[in-house]
Amino acid sequence: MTITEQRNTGETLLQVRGARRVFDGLVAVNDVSFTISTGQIKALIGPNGAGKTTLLNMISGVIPPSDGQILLHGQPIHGLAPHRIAARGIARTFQHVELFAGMTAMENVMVGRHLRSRAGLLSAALRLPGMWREEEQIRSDAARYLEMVGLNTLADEPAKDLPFGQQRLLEIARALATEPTLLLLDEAASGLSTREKKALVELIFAIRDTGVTIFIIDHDMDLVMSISDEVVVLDHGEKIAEGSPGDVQRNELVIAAYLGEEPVHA
Amino acid sequence: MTVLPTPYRIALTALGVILLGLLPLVVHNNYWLSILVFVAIYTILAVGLNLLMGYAGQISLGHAAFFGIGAYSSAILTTQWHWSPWLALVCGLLLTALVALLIGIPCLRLRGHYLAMATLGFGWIVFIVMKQWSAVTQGTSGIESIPKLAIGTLVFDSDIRHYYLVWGIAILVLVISANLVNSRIGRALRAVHGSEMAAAALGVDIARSKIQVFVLSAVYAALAGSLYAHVVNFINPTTFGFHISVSLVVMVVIGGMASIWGAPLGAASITLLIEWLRNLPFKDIDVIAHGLILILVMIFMPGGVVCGLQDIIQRVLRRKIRRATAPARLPAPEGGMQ
Amino acid sequence: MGSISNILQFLVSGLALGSTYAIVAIGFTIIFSSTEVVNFAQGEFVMLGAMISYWLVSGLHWPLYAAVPVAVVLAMLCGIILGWVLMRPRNGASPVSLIIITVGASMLLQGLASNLWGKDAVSLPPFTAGDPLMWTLPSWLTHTTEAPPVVIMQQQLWVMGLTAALVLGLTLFFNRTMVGKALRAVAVNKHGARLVGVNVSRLVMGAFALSAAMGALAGAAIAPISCGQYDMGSMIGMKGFAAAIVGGLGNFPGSIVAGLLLGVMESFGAGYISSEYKDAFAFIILLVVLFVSPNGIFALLRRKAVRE
Repeated sequence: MTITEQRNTGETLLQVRGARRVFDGLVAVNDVSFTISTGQIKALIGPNGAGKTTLLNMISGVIPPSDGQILLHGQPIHGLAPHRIAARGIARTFQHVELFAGMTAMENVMVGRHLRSRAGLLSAALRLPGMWREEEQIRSDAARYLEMVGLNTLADEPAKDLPFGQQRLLEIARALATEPTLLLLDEAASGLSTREKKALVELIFAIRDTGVTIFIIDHDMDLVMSISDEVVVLDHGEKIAEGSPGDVQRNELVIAAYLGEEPVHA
Repeated sequence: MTVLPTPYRIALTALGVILLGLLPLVVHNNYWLSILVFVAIYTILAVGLNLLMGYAGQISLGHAAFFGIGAYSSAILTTQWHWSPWLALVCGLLLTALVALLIGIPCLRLRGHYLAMATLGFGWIVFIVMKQWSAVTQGTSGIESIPKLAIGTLVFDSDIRHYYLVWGIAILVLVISANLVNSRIGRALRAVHGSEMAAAALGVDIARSKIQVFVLSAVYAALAGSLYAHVVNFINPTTFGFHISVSLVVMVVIGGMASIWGAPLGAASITLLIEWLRNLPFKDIDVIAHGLILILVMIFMPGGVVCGLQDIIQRVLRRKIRRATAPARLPAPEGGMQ
Repeated sequence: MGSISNILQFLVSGLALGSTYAIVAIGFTIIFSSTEVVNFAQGEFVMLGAMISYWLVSGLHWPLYAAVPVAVVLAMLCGIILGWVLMRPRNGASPVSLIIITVGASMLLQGLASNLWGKDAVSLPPFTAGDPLMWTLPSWLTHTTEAPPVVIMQQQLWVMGLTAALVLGLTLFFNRTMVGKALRAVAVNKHGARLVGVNVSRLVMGAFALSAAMGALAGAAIAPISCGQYDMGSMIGMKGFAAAIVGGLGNFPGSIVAGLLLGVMESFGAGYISSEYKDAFAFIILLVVLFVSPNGIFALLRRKAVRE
């Protein structure tokens, strides 16, 4: 078996069953089903307005599905609040970078350690000794993630002052700091230069090698096809294809959906 | 926004505390001492509101209500039921926490203008109740002869003693709040302010964080209220009206919302300002001048005085550094970097 | 419990009261929808209308029909100045800053009023002198022959009539005139409006002028009934806001209905529940609406309609 095939027969991590989302009469996502296997890099593509971000928002809990189920390790997570889904091991980045503007890069990543730390109101207010140790731990953990994405020299820079490409990396570091089992990347490559995209590809492989499953939305066909083990294609809210990158690229429905849309090359 | 590294901040804080401690030895005028006592009381109020507005990014236009609930609890429990003042104070804090929880849960689901309006409405309702529920609050005549606070045989009954008591508590509150800000909880709060979506995606319980800080700021206000009641020994509803809620917001904004230390600055500025205005010749010109000053400061220094000053300092420092490191014979670039 | 004549009496006073709230709510809505500013000085315009009219009539012995228009114009000027001031802050001030500026303006106006005209309540002559209307209800309605007639003061009719006329005038203004349509455009999309040539800053000042004028007129109209005082603006302003929110921020007909509703509920509340806490009713309704449906009760009704 090829490595890809091996990965695709791994155990099921996330299952989306008949997901559907309606906004005031407009059907944004209609009866979409697919699974993500542990250890995969799976991509979600489709023309603009296909419902990709809506689907991602349903998985991460930003909005509940109007119908259908989403299961993580076989347990239903649809309709849960975002912070609960995060606690179960799903982390994400955002299409429009959502950094904490008033904080430094380091502090942003430290917030990522929120779930892995415990100090509460009382120990923080009174500076109990346990809290000191935990703070040190949080800081060093955050530094590790900054180093992983290559931002360790910029740790004390205000996040809003970072160039766009590095802001995207910071968001990834921050998401990784939660030690997720599944990482959702929403348009993580858009707005990046060719060089930055190459670096991002390396980073994504490195993340996958640490055992994190990755689900990525992107417009860049070349990028998506080169890194994904499997691809799901959405058009007008419906799944029109799923399979290996090669299969999907040759699929007539997919080609038709993209007709009139310039496929984006790096 | 941190301009100075931590060791310097601790040193400055210690210096400030020492100065505050020595002040009464220099200032013998009781009038000014009592003004400073009020500054301490408003500092406690302002710190709480600062946490809510500056760090959590919420707003409350009715915080005087919590100030009043704390004050009235202490007053009623000590004058009518003859409780010990400290017990009454704790009871007041608990009661206020409960009220804040009950009103906070529905309110904090709202955003922006709606939250402002809801807290405004709440503030007015409490104010009207204070005025009208004469059976309990004595209505507009207020409650008098509120007993003094005492620890053992030490009774806090003079301006100097009030000064040390209230400032001692205020400094404690400031230190606790500073600790909170630089902690996991504080970061989570600031994250909520920065981007609710991202904070939630990192596991921060948004609703719970907002309510926690709301209740905390209400408890601070109640503490200030109880202290007020025992220092002034008389309270009536006018002390807790809408204009006080507004003054509190102004204190926080003028002090600068980016830092806890803006709270005492803002409290001091506004309190001293109001005192100065009160002594001006025409009747009610203080209100006119107060209004004018609000307008002017908001136009020219919307980030608050602390931020304005910090900006100026940073710009000056950056220019000096650039001049020092610029290659020789090249003129230093003019104009601050943004 | 209420006899028919009691109910109708409360209804009448409630409608008169509510008309004032409606006008304040409309003024507030006009400013908010074109500038996103919460104008805490709205109530002060009402106060200015009442107090300036009083001053012109009692102090300078002007006839009422001359005093009121002049008061309205002067209030308009104050409104324009406030609008201009609000556009001063560079870097687009935060909403909190703008709120504080309007609060500062409100304090300023109240302070000026108390300096110029003292703190006591003053009375204004009604627009038309004469006895109140006594509406004797038919006995089949009241089930008794001794029911007291419903007393309707002429001034109350004036208030309601003026409000109706204002609403009509504004509707025509917004739908038929260029300026009105421009205001609506700015409310919907400020930048788009600028792109098609609308002078936004002048329009903002116009919005303030209009709101101030309306408020002042309402003030002069309500003062003969409930007296004028330097701080009458606070309560009226707050209740007007409550009405604007209940009707839905930016919703013009909503403000009117909500204002009237609030006035009527306050009147009934004062009559049947407690007159001491009558001021609290508006705020309680405000809180309930905010918790249940922040966009106002009409948004709630619309949502229910869509679901069915």
